[in-house]
Amino acid sequence: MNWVLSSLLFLPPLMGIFHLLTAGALKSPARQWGSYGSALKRIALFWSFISLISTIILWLSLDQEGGFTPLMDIDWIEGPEKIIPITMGGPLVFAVDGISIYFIILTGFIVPCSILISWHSVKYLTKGFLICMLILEFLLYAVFSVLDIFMFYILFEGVLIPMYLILGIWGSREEKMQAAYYFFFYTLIGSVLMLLCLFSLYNIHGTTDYLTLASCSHVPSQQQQKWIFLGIFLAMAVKIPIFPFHIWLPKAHVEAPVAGSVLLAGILLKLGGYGLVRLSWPILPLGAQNLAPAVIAMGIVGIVYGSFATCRQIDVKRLVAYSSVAHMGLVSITLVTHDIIGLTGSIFIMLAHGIVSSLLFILVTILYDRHHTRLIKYYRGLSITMPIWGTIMIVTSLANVAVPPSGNFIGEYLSILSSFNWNPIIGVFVCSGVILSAVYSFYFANRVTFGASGSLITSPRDVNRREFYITASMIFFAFLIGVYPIFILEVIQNSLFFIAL
Amino acid sequence: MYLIVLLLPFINAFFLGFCGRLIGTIGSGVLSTICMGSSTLIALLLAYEILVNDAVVHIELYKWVESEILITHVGLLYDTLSVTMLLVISSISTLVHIYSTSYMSDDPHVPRFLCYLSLFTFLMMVLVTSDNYLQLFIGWEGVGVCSYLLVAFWTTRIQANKAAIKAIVVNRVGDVGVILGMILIYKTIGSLDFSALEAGFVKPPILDNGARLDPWAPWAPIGILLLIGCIGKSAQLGLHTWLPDAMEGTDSNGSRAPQHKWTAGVFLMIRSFPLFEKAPLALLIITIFGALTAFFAATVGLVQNDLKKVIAYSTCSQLGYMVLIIGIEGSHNVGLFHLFNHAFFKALLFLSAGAVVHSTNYDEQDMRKMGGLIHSIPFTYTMMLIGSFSIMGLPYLTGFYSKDLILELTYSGRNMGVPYFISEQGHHLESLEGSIGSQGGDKRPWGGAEGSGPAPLAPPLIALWPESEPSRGSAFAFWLGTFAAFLTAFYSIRLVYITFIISPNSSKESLISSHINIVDKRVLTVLSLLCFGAIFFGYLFQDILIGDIEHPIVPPFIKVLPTLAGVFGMSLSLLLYWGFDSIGPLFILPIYSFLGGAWQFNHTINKLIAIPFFNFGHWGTYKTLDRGWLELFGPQGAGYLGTRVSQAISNLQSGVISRYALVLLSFTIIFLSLWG
Repeated sequence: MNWVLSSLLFLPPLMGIFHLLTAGALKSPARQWGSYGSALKRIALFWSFISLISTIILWLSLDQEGGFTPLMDIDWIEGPEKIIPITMGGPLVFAVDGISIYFIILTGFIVPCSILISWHSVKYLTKGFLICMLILEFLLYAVFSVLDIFMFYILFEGVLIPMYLILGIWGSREEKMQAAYYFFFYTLIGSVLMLLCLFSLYNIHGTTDYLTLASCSHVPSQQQQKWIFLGIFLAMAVKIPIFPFHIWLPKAHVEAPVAGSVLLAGILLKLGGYGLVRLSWPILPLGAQNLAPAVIAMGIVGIVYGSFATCRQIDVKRLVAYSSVAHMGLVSITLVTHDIIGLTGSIFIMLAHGIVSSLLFILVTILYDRHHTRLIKYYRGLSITMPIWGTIMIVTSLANVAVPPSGNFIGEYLSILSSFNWNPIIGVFVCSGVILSAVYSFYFANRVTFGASGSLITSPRDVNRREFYITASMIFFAFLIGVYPIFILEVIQNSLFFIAL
Repeated sequence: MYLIVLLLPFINAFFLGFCGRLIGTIGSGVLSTICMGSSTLIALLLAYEILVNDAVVHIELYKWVESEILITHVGLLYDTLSVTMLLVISSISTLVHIYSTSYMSDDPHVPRFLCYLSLFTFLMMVLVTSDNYLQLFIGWEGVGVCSYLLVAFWTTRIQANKAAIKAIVVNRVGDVGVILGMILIYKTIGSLDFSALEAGFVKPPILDNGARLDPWAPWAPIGILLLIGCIGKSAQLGLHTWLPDAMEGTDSNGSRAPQHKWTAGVFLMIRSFPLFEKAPLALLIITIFGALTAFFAATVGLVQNDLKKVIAYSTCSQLGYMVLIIGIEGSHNVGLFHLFNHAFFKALLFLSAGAVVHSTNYDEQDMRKMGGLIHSIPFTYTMMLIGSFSIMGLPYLTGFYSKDLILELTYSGRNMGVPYFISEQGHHLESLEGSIGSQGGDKRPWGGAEGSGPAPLAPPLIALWPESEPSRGSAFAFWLGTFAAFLTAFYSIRLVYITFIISPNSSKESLISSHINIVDKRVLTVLSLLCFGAIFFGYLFQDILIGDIEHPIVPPFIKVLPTLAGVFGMSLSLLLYWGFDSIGPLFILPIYSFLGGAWQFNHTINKLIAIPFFNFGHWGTYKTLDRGWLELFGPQGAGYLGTRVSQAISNLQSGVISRYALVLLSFTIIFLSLWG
C-alpha cells in the first residue's frame, strides 16, 4: 500500500469533484473572479492541472525496470467468510507499470485541454458537465491502473456513463439521441460478451486477479482460450473500433460536444487497445495466436475501408472520425502480431494518435465555434484570415500522416515493421494506408486552409490565447515524442517484457 | 562545426518562421544571407577536411529508437558523398536565398518564403548527413513536405494547390517504397545503419530463422523498393507527374527549391549502392528506368511551350542520366559527379528563367509570347545560353565531363546484371543460385566482398562478356541516352531561340518593361557565380569526385557520338526555327499532342486510378456499406426487429378470454404429451 502514490493519482479528481459540489454552498472566494460558471471552470481546471502534475510525479517515481509499482490494495468482495463465502481472488490491487502510466499521463493531459477548449461552448449545466469530466478522469485513472479483470470490466463500463451523459446532454443537435443509442448499442453488446468471458475465466482459474491469470496463461485449453479471446476481443473491437463495429464512432463524434469528441478520440478509443494489450497475449496467448489472422484481416479492411471512406467525407468531424478508424485498424493489426516491436509500435501509435486526433477535433471545433458549420465546402482560404490556425492545421495534418519527426511516425514505422515480419503481404497492405492518409489529410487541410478566401463565411477571428496555448502545447508533445521517443519506448518495452512475453 | 552547419539553416528557418513579422523583409534577407553564407563557409571547411584530407567523420548524438534489436541513433556521417552533397546544397541554397531576396522583394511574405527555403535546406542536409536510413527518412519526407509548402506558397492560386497535393501524394507512393525497403533491409541485415551495409556482407545476414547463408536474401526486392522511392522523389518515369504541375502551378520561384529534392532520390541510390551491388536484377531495372526517363522527358521537353516546364523536363531527363549510371556497376560516383555538375548549370538555367519571367510585364511563362528578349536582357540571355551549352554537354563545359563519361561507361557496359539476365534468360535462376552457392562454399560466403573491393559476382560475369561491345541492356541505355542527348540539344536551343532571338511576339510595353526591369545586382552576382560553376566546375572537381574512375576504352566513333548528337541536335533546331515559327506543323499532329500531353500519364492515372477509387470511397464504402449494410444489420435492424417482436408479443395480450384459454389449453396439451 503506497498511500503517497495512490493519493497522488486518485485524489486530485476526487478533490475537484468535492470542491465543485461545495463551491456553490461555501461561497468560495472564487466567486469574486467572475461569473459563477467561470469560477466553476477555474476550479475544475485547477484540479485537473494538479492531477496532470501528480501523474508526472507518479511517472518519475515509477519502476523503470518494467515491474508494477503498487498503488494500493483494497479488501474488496472478500469479506468475512460467513457473509460472503465466495472470494474473488484476494484483495483488489491497483498498480501502475510502463504501459499504463503513459495512458494515465495522456488522460491527465487531455482532460484539462478539453475543459479549456469547452470554456465557452458549454452554456448550460456547467457544474454537471465539469463533474462529469472529473468523474471520467477518475474512472480512467482507475481503469488504467486496476489489476483485477472483473474490476477492469466494471470500470470499463463505468466510463461509459459519464461519456453517455456528456454525449446526450451537451451534444449539439437533435440527432444526439440516435448517436447515444448507437454508442450504447454497440458497447453494451460487446461488454455482455466480455462479461461472460470473464466469468468463464473465473470458472477456470478461480480468481480474477490479473497477475495470477497472467502467470497461469497456459491453463485453459486452446479451445477455451479461443472462445474467451473472441468474446473479449469483440468488446475491445467495439471500443477501438475495428471495421464492422465502427459505425457508432462517426455518429458519436459528429454529435458530441467538443470535450466529448476530444475525450472519445483521445482516450476512450485507446481503452480498447489498452485492454487488448493487457488481456490478449498475457492471459490468452493461444487464443490470440489462433485468432490473429482474423483480427489482422479486419484491421486491414479497416485501414483501406476507413481511408477510402475518409477521402469522401465533407463533414469535418466525421472525416476525422473515419481517419481514426483507419489508424486504429493499424493498431489492431500490430496488437496481435506478437512481437515486442509490434506491441510497442501500437502503444506508441495510440499515444501519438491520442494527441493528434484530439488536436484535430479541437481545431475543427475552433472553426465550428466561429462559423457554426462543419461542412468543408463552406471553408476556403483560412490561411489568409486565420494564419495561426492554418499553420497549426497544416502541422497537425503532417503529424496525422506520420511525417517523420512526429510521434506517429515512430509508431507507424514500428507497426509496419512488425506486420511485415508477420507476413510481407500484410506489410504491403498496411502501407496503402500511408498513401491514402496523405490523400485525405492533405485534401482536407488544403481545401480548408488554402485557396482564395470565400464569401460564404464571415467574421473570421484567429485563435485566441486560450486556444493557442492548448493547440501549441499539443503540437509540441506530438513532435517531442517523435524527436526523443526513447524515454517512452524503454519503459514500455521493459513492461512488455515483464508481462507479455 | 559538424552540428552548426546543420543548425544554421534550422535557426534561420525558426526565426523567420516565428518572428518573421518582427524581422521584416530586409532583416530576413540579411539574416538568411548571414546564416546560409556561414553554413556554406563551414561546408567548405568540411570539404577541405573530408574531401582533401580524406577523413570520415561519424558522430552519434543520441539514441533515437530502440525496439528489440532495432537500435537507431541520431547520428551524423560525413564522408565524400555527404560532404559533396552538403557543399552543393549549401552553396546553391545560399545563392537561391540571395536571389530570392531580390526576386521576391515586392512580395508581402518574404520571411515565410525564406523560412520554407531554409527549412528545406535543413532537411536536405539532414538527409545527406544522416548515418542511417531511418534518419534519412526524416529528411526524405521533410523535403517532400517543404516542397509541398513551397509549391503552395501562393496559397490563393488553385493550380498551385492542386499541384501541391499531387506532389505530396505522388511522393508518398515513393515513400512507401522506401519504408518497405528499409524494413526489408532491417530484416536482412538487422540494422539500418549505413556502416552496417558494408559490414552486413562480410558477416552473414542475421535472420531469425537461422538461415545464415540464404542465397535468396532479398537484395533485388530491396533494390526495386528503393528504386520506387527514387522514382517518386526524383520524378522518374511513372511517378514524374507531380513535377511539371509543380512547375506550372507555382509562379516561378516556388519551383526552384524542389530541384534539390529531385536529387534526394539519386542520393539515396548512391548511398545504398552496396545493396545494389548484390542485386543484378535491380541494377538492370535501374538502368532501364533511367534510360527511359531520360528519353521520355527529353521527348516531352521538345514540345513544351512553358519556359519552366521545358527546364523541368530537362531536369527530369538529366536525373534519368544519373539513375542510369547508378545502374552501371561500379560507376555510382559518376552519378554523384553528374549530380554535382547538374546542380550548378540547372540552377543557372532556373534562376535565369526566373529572371526572364520576372522581366516581362505579367510574369509571362509562355515562350510563344516572348521573343526578341536578347535586345532587352542581354545578360540573362548570355547566362541562359551558357547554361544550355553546359547541359548539352558541349566539350569542356561542366556538363561535358560527366555526361560524356556516363554515356561511355554505359557503352562499355560493366553492368554485371545485364549479361546475366539477358543472355542466359533460360538458366539465370539456376546459375545465380549455383554461383552464389559455390561462392558460399569457400570461406567468403558473401562473395569476396572484403572491404570495398569489386562486387562479388563481377569477375565471372565480366569474363562471360567481351569488353568491347555492350550488352543488350547497356546498349539500350546507351542509345536511348545518346538520343536523349540529341533531344536535349534540340530543346535547349529551341528554348533559347524562341525566347530570345526570334522577332518579338510580345507587346511593345512588355519589351520595354523588360528592359526597365533589368536584373539588379544581387541577381547579377548570383547568376555570374553560377555561370562560373557551369563552365568550370566539371573540370575542377573531376579529380576529387571521380579520380578513381578511368575512362573506358571505346571505339572513337562512340566516344564522339554524344558530342556529335549534341551538335546535330543544336543545328537541326536552329535550321528548323530559321524557317518556321512553330514546331507544330513539322510533327504529325497526334504525335505532337501526345508529346505535349506528356504521354498522357495524367489522363491515364486520373481515369484509371483516382476517379474509380474516389467513387468507390463514396458509393462503395460510405453509402453502400457504412450507411447501408452495417446500419441495417446493426443498430437499425436491431431496433426494427425489437419493435416488431415486442409488437407481436403485446398483440398477444389482447384481453380476449377465448385466446387466453386457447393458449392455456395448447400448452397443457404440449406438456402433457411431452411428459406422457
